[in-house]
Amino acid sequence: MHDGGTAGKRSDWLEHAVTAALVAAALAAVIAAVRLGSAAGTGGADLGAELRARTERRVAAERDRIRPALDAVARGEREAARREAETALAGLEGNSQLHLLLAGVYRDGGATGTALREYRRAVELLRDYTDRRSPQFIGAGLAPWLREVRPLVSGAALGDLHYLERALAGGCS
Amino acid sequence: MKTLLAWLKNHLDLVSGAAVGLAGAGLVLLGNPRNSGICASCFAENVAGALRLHGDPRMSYLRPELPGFLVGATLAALAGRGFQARSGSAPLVRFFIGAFLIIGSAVFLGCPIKVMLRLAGGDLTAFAGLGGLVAGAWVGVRFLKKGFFLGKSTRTGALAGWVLPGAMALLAAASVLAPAAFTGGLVGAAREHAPPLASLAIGLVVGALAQRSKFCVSGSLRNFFLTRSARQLGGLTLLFVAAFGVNLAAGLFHPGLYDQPGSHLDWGWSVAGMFLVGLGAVLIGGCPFRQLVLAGEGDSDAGAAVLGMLVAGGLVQSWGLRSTIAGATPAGKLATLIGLVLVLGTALAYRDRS
Repeated sequence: MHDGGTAGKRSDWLEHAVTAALVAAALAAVIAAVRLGSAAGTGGADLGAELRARTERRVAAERDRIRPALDAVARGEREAARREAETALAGLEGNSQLHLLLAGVYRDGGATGTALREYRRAVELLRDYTDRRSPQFIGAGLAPWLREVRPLVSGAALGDLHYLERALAGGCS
Repeated sequence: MKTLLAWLKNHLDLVSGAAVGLAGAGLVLLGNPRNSGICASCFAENVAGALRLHGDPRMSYLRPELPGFLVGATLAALAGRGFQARSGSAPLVRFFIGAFLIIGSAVFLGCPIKVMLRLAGGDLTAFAGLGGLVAGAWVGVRFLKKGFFLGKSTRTGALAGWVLPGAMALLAAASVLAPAAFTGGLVGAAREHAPPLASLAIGLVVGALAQRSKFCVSGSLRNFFLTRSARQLGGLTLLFVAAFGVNLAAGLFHPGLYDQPGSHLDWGWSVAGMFLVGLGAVLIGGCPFRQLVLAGEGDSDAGAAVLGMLVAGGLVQSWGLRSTIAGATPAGKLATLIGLVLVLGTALAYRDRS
């Protein structure tokens, strides 16, 4: 078969073609079976929809607990908002909205270092805040403020600032 | 014209290097994440996610470039009568080293091609990765000079050579035809992508060129250390120059340390991760991109490495064996250390002891 003759070469090509077709057909069947199984099983076909649904469920469950803090922000009562948010955080450490709210309160109050820490925590919990294509993107307001406060911070706060700058820069990570 | 064509034919490594640089920077302009126009390890993680090997939708997208590289290499190999099903050179060892190439890359945040693309975008933190890569390749060459050899591969039945090209042809078709529910790319970094048809076309061309030229970043370093000829670094240099030129023209060159996309400041772990990649790549005959190209030529040993890469693409996300922009995770550090021990152990075990 491998003697280099014309018949041998034709046979080689035929073997390649038949094998490629068989492999493609077998793999197509496997992929189709996996997809059918997935669709019939956990409904894991759309990872994005799954993530959104999961987030919405969690946000709805936590909404009542963070409402007092949000209401205080709406009334412009910064100190009350901080108190309510910190109280709520005791049971909701992983709530990105509370950290974002606290970041805003500390930023308005001039506590730059603490605000940077809270912004970082919020972004670590929900990268959508720095995703330009997300409706939750906060970069438009955050980026100019980071530039403004960069000369004023040092140490851990500067590390948090650089983290936020890298998050806003995007990239594949 | 004839002279130009003949020159290009004789300098295909330079052409390939420039093509990878142009494609890497061009794909960013078309929609891929910044400094990640081409990254075999990021693509492996994305494709692993699309195949449900991990559950992070932000890193799940059936990137057409990855199957494109492999299928492009297959087409070029068939056209040049270079397709040959072969196997038998320690495939399981290659599987694990292939996996560690992705883990090392995930700790640095990019494959060897992305090291160059990050530098061309002005990311000065990538110098740490470059240092690690060069050092790893140098150590790998020391082992080659001491007779390291994984065993001879031999010609085998056509089926073995066609498994991965067949699978990747299907993935390539799915990447442009299947609905987003299958391909992913809906949120986060995965949503940043060039139009699928353009990505696939670029992947095919780059894969074909790389097959004809044998272009590979760590392969260039290996050849340089073996021959001490600067000519071996020509393709690599042109990759950087082409990407730098496009970035400069498009306003995407932003030199800096702290605000770079997809980077972190754990310098030591960047060095260690890319050292692991440089060493492993020299031992198995090429970086992740080169493994894809070799698998496209019918080399099932490289195919085993590609499968290891895809499995690791899932594990780095689901087990956290990687870095984030905050730095290397504890699991990523541990996996890098384990990888260094195992890959160095392999190098010692397979050296010529006669």
